[in-house]
Amino acid sequence: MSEEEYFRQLCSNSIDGTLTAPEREQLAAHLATCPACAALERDLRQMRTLLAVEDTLPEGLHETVMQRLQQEDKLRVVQPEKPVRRMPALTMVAAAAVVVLVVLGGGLMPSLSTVGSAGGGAAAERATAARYLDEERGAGGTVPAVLPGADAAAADAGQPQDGLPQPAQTETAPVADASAETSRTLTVPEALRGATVAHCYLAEGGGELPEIGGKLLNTDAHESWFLLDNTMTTLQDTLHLMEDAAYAISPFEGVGLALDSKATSWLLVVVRGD
Amino acid sequence: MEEKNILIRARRGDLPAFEELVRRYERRVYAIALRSSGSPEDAADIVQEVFLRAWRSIESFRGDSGFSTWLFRITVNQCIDHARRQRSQPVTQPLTIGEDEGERPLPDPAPTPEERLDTRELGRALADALAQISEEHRRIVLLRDVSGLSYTEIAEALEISEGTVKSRLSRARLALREILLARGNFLPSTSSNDNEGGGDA
Repeated sequence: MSEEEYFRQLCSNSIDGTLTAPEREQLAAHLATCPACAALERDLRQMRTLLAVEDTLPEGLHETVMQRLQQEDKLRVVQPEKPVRRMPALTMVAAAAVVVLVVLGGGLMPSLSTVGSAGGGAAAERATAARYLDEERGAGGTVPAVLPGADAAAADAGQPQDGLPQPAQTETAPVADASAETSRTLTVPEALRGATVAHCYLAEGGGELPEIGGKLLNTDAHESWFLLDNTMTTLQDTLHLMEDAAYAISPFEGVGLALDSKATSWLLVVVRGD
Repeated sequence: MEEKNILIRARRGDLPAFEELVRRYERRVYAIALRSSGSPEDAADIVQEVFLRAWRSIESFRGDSGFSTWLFRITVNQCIDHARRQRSQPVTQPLTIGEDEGERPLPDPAPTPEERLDTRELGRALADALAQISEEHRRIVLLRDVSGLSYTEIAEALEISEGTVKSRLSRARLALREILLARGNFLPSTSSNDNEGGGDA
């Protein structure tokens, strides 16, 4: 780099405030004797000031941008090659629930069966664990998630049952009950027979049912079937709403309906615990 | 809310979260687009396209660089693409940057001091000059002087070393100044007449 180029670059760096102290001194000394570089430095500063001026955003541009994004969002929902973004998160939550419950079920229940003669301490431990399991279920254990763990637990508990004291059986009973109760088949409402939906989600929980912005097809003491518009916003808002109301959400394909991401509606089945 | 949390939500497809990012950056994205295109209408189109692209690819934003670096890189790319498309179409009117009275002719070769002191005029001339420098130079000037990215951020955005950022930026600014000087757009206090050591006895 020639000396001329060197000082030009220092002029450029100086308007960015990135000169080291020695460079600053060197440039100051040079500018005092070189009017051309002094002029360059002034011009660069002026250019910089003009370039950095923040402009006022034209009225309505923000709204136009957001409208386009919303349109894009709707398109995205019906594009088969672009799966709904919400899915992975939900699937992960459901998977995590399975892991937690399988670990609890598989790890807890053998200890219940083998410590049968250990006395009151073990029974207390069991009671705590069973309560935790209940809480876990109430807080968000999903139907498919509970079943494998509960089944495995029941099978494990069944083998060396002879020495098991009476309280232990009563403690494990809710788990078995839960599996029996949640394995009950869901009956597809008449209005939905042969229908195609974009997605189907199961919401399970015991909380108060929030207001759902969809068409209520059928409801009884345990189940409510809702058909909602297939838009990203509706999907997200509704699932958030249900989660906030302590319902556990999981993708649900067990209803026997055809799934097609281009369908105009998606299905939400709410199953309430007692 | 902290930007990191907004980004997490936006990456999950949460449009209201993404709207917050739009709010935070739309003015600067617009400024870049306006400097580059010289037309408020074109700048508005560029802004829409930038946020659309960002929304489509926000999932793939890994956070290795800052969000602003990522967004401004998209913006500058979009500006360059836009300029290429413009160039391939017949030019019917000069580029302008003003918002009031439409296009103006380029400054007279010998403007009066009042005209030369008109910063708005200089802003227009600057937009025009930006359109004339190389894409590489325009890119770096937009990222530094309009977007306000640091040397490090520019190095990340353009995948070049910081040393190259410094030298390229210096050359780009000199190129811009050359165009402005040649047109007599600079303030009289500067070396418009004695530039490059011409009359500095």
